[in-house]
Amino acid sequence: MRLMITAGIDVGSLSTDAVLMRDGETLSQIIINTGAMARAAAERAFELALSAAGLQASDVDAVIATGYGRMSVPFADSQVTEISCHGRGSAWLSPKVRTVIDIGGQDSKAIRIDGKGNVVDFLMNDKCAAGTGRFLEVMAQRLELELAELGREDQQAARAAQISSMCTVFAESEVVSLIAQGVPRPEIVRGLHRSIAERTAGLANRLGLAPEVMMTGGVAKNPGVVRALSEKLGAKIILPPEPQIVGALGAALIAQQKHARQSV
Amino acid sequence: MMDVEGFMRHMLCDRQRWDRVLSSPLTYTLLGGVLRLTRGNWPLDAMYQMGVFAFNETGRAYVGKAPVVWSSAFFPVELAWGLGLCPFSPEVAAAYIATLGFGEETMSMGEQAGYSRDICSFHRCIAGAASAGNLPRPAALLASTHLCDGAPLLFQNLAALYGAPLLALDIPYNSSPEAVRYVAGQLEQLWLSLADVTGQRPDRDKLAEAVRCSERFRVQMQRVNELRCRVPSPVSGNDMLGFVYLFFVGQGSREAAEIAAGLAKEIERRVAGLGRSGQTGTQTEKYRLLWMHLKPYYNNELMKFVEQDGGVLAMEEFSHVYWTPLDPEQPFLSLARKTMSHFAFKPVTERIRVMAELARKYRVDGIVHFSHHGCRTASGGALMIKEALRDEGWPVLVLEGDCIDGRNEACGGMLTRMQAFLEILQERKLGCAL
Amino acid sequence: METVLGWVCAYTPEEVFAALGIESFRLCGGENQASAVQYLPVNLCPLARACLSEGLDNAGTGASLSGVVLTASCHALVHLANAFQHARGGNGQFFVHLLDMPRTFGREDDAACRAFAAALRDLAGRLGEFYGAAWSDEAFLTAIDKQQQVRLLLRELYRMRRERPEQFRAAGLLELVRAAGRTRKEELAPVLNSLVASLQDAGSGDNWDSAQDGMQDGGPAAAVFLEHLRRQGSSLGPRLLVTGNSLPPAYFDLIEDLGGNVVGDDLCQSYRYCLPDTEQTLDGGGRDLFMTLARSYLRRPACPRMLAGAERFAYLQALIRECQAQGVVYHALKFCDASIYEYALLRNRFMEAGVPVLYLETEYRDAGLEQARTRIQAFLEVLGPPTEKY
Repeated sequence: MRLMITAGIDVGSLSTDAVLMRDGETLSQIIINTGAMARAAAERAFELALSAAGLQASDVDAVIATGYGRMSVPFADSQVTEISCHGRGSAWLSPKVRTVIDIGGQDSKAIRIDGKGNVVDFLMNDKCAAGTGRFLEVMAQRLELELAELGREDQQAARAAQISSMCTVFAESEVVSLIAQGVPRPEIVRGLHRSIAERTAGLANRLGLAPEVMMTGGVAKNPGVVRALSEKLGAKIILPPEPQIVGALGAALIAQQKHARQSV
Repeated sequence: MMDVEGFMRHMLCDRQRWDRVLSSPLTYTLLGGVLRLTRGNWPLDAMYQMGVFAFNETGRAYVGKAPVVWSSAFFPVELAWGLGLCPFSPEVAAAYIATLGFGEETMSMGEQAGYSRDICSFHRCIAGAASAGNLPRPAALLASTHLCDGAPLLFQNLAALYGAPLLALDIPYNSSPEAVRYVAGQLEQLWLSLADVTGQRPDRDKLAEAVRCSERFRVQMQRVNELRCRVPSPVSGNDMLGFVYLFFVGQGSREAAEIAAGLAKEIERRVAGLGRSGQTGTQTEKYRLLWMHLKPYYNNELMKFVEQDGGVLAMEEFSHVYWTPLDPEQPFLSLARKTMSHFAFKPVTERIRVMAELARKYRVDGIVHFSHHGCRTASGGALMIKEALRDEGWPVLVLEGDCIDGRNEACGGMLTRMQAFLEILQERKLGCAL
Repeated sequence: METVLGWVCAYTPEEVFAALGIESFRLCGGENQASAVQYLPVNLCPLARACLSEGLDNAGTGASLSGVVLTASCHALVHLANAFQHARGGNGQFFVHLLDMPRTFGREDDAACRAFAAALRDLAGRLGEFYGAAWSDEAFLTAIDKQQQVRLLLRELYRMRRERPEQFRAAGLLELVRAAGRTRKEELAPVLNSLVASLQDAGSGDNWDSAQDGMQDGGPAAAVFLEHLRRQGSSLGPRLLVTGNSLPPAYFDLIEDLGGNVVGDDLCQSYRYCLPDTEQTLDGGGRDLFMTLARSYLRRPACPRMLAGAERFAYLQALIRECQAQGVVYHALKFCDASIYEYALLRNRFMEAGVPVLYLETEYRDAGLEQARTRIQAFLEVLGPPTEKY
C-alpha cells in the first residue's frame, strides 16, 4: 500500500511556509515571503515544495492550511489554527516538550501541550507589537542593523541597557535617546532582547510554564532573544532546526492523522 | 428579504433625523408591521413576542406616553413597573445601536464628550448617544452599584446633563440581616422618591402586582432552564442570550411573565418532538459550551462561527435564575434579597461554584468566559475563574473581546482563539487528531 | 519576620486595628506589578495590581502580610481581595475581609451610617477572632484619639505647605502620609510634633537648616522626614491643586522640577488621609463609638467613588479658593472608572467656572513620566510665564 503524503501550508503575515511529509518523514520544506497576496503565496509555496520533493499535486492525499491567512488557501482540505499546529509540530520534533513559545512577526503565543502533542491551553498576544518580531524590526531599523545581525551584536555587549517602556513606540524613543547618549549599540540590543524576553515570559508565566520549553517562530533564530528568554524563565529552551516551519510541519502531521482516521 | 434590522437601519440612515424618526408613532406602526411579516423567521416565537414588547416599550419611551426612567442592567426594575412608568435600558439601546452598525460613530461621540476608551463601550456608546440627543429624556435615572461600577457613575453624569435625579441603590458586599434591611430601606425610599419625581401615586397594590409578575417570570425562566438541561440542546443558547432584555428591563411587567411562559411552552413542545439525531433546529451539536458574560453585538461573526462549527451554547451565565421566590407582600425585602444574592458580587469562589454546577448540570464540554473590555466585575476575576475551573477539569477559554466596540478586532484574533479552543475540545472528545 | 495587616483605602479604620493591637501596613504599590500578572488581568486598576504585587512580595520592607482588610469601594478592590484570597488564603491562615462602605451620594444618611457602623463592628469581631485579640472600648477611644492627633499634626504640615509651597517637597508630604499608614500612631506623634515645631519656627527657606539643627525629641526619623520634605531648588511658579486618584511621588517631583507648586490636593494617599474628624456625636444617649467613627468617616468630603456629584464639585471649588490654586491637575488612573467618569463630568464644570484643568492619565508607574513631562510643562506654560529656578 502506498504511504500517505500530506502537506501543511502556514500562511503567516510575513512568511508563508510549506512542508510535505510522507509517513513521518519530511520530504521538503519551503519558506517564502507572503507579500501582498496570501492565496498566491500559498500556491507558490506549495508548488515549490512539490518540485523540491519531485512530486505533483495529485500525489498529495491531504492538505491542511494554517496561519493568519489560512482561509485564503482554496486547495486546502481543511484549516486548523496555528496554535494546534505549533503544538503538534513541536511535540513531533521533541516529544518531551510541554510548553511552546512562538514569537512571530505580528503576534506571540504560549502553548501548553500534553505528551501526545494535543493542546491543553494557550495564550495569544496579537494586540500589541511589543513582544513580537515587529518590535525587533522597528528597533533594528533604528539601530541600522539587519534583523539577522541582532544576535551577533548582542554577543558583543558587556551589559544590557535598561529599556523600561512597555510600548514599541515609546521604546523606540528610548532607543533614540540611548543612541544620543552614546550608549554602545550592543548594550542597547541586549536591552531590547531583555525587553522582548520579559514580555514573552509574562505571557508564558500567565499560562503556566511546564518543562520542556521549545521556542518556535522567526524570532527563535535570534540567539540573543533565546538566551534572554531562557534567563528570564529560568528554563532551558529547546530550538528546532528550522523554527519557522513548525506550524506547517504540524499542519502536515495533523493532515496525516486526520486523513488516516477518515480512511479507516 | 426584509428584516427588522434592515428596516431599522433604513429608517435611521440619516442621523440628523433620528430624533424625528424615533419619536414618531408611525415608525412603530411600521415596525409592528415588519415584525408581523417576519414572524415566521424567528427561531422561537417567543423572540417575536419579545420583539413586539421591546419595540412597543421603545415607542412608549420615545413618543412620550409615560414618564421614562432609565434603568441600569441589574437594577430591580419592578419598582418602575409598579409605578406604571416606562423603564428604558440605555445599555440595551447601546447594544442595538451597535447591531444596527452605528456603534463606531456613536462611541466616537462619547469619546469626544470626554470618556476614555478604557471604560466600558456600552457606556461610551450611551454617552455618545446622549450627547447627540438620541435617547429618550428620563424623568429619573435608576442604578444599582453591585454588578457595575460604571453604570452608576455614568448615570450620575447624565443625570446632571438631563437635570433629572439619580436614584441609586447602594448594595453591600457582605450579607447579614442588617445589610438586607439597609437595602430594603433604600428600596422603599427610592420607590417613594421615584413616585414623587414622576408624579405617580405610590400604590402598594400595584407594586405587589409587579412583584407577582416578576415571580411568574422567575418560575417560568427556571422551567425553561430545566427544559434546556438535555442533550441535545432544544434551543440555541445564542438565541437565549437575546432574552437578557427581559432580565434587564422586563421583570415586573405582565408581558415579560407571559413571554417567559410562552417560551417555556415552546421549548416543551420542542423537547417532545426532538429526534435522536442530535439535531437542534438546523444544526448538529458537536460541542456543548457554558457561556459566561455576553457577546459581540457589533457583528455576528463570532457566534456564527461557533454555531457553524457545531458549537452550542448549552447554557449561559446570564440566563441563570439565581434568586429565590419573591413575596409580593414583602416587596422591598424580597427585592433586597434578590439583588444581594447575585453570585458575582460575592467572593469569586461563589461565581466559580455556580459555573461549575451549571457546567455539570448542562454536561458541557468547555467553558467560555467572554471578557468584555472595560467590565471590571466580570473580567477582573477571569484569570482566577479559569484556574479554578481548569483545576476541576473543565477546559476554559478566556476570550478577550468587546460587546460594542469592534474596532480592535480587525485581525480576527478572537476567531482564531475560538477556533483553537474548539480544536482542543475536539481532541478531548474524539480522543484523537482533528 | 514581622506580620502586618494590609489595607489600601483612606476610609479604612486604622483605629479598629490599633484598638485590637494589630500592626497594620498601608499598601501603596510600587513600580513592580509582576507578581500580579497571574491573578489580575492587565486591564484592571494598576493601583490594585501594584498593591497585590507589594503584598505578595512581602511589602518590600521585610514585613510579611498576615492578612488584608480592603474596602468594597469598587470592583478593582473586590478582585484584589479575591486575588489575595486565591494566592494566600488557601490554608485559612491569611485574613481577607472586604469592608462594606456605603456610598454617601453627597448626603448625610442615618441608615448608611448605621450600616457602616454595623460593618465596622463586624470587622472588629472578625479581626478579634482571627488574631485572638480582645476588644476594649477604652483601647478604641485611645486609638481614635491618637489617630485624630496624628491627623491634626499632618494637617498642620499641609497648611504650611499651602502657605509656602516653594519650600516644601510635595512628594515628601506624600511619603510622610504613606509612612503614617505604616507606623504606630503613638510612635509617629512625637516625630510629627517635632517636625511641626521646627518648621513653624523656620519662617523662610534659609531657616530650614536651622530647623534641622533645632530638631528635638523627634529622633532620627524626624530628621529624615525633614530632609525629604525639603524642596530642592524653589519656584514661585503656578499654584496647583491635584485631585483624582493616587499619583506616585515621582510625578510630584516632576511638577516641581518643571516649576509648578502643589498647594493642595485631594488624594487618597495624601491629604484625604488627614481630613478632619467631626466632633464626637452622641447616639441616642449612649456612646456608640462605632457609630461615632462611622459618621465621622462618612461625613468627610466625598471622594469620586461616593457618587456625590455636585457636592464633590462644590468641595473642589472651595479647596481651590482656600489654596488659591491657579489650576487643577486631574489625575486619572488608567482603568479607574471612578476617576475617568468623574473627569468627564468635572471638566465641563471647571471650564464653565474658568478653572484651567490638566488631565493626566498614568498607569501608576514611573515609566509614564516622560509623557507626563510634556503635558505638565505645557500646562504650566498656559498658566503663567516660565519662572526662574534658584
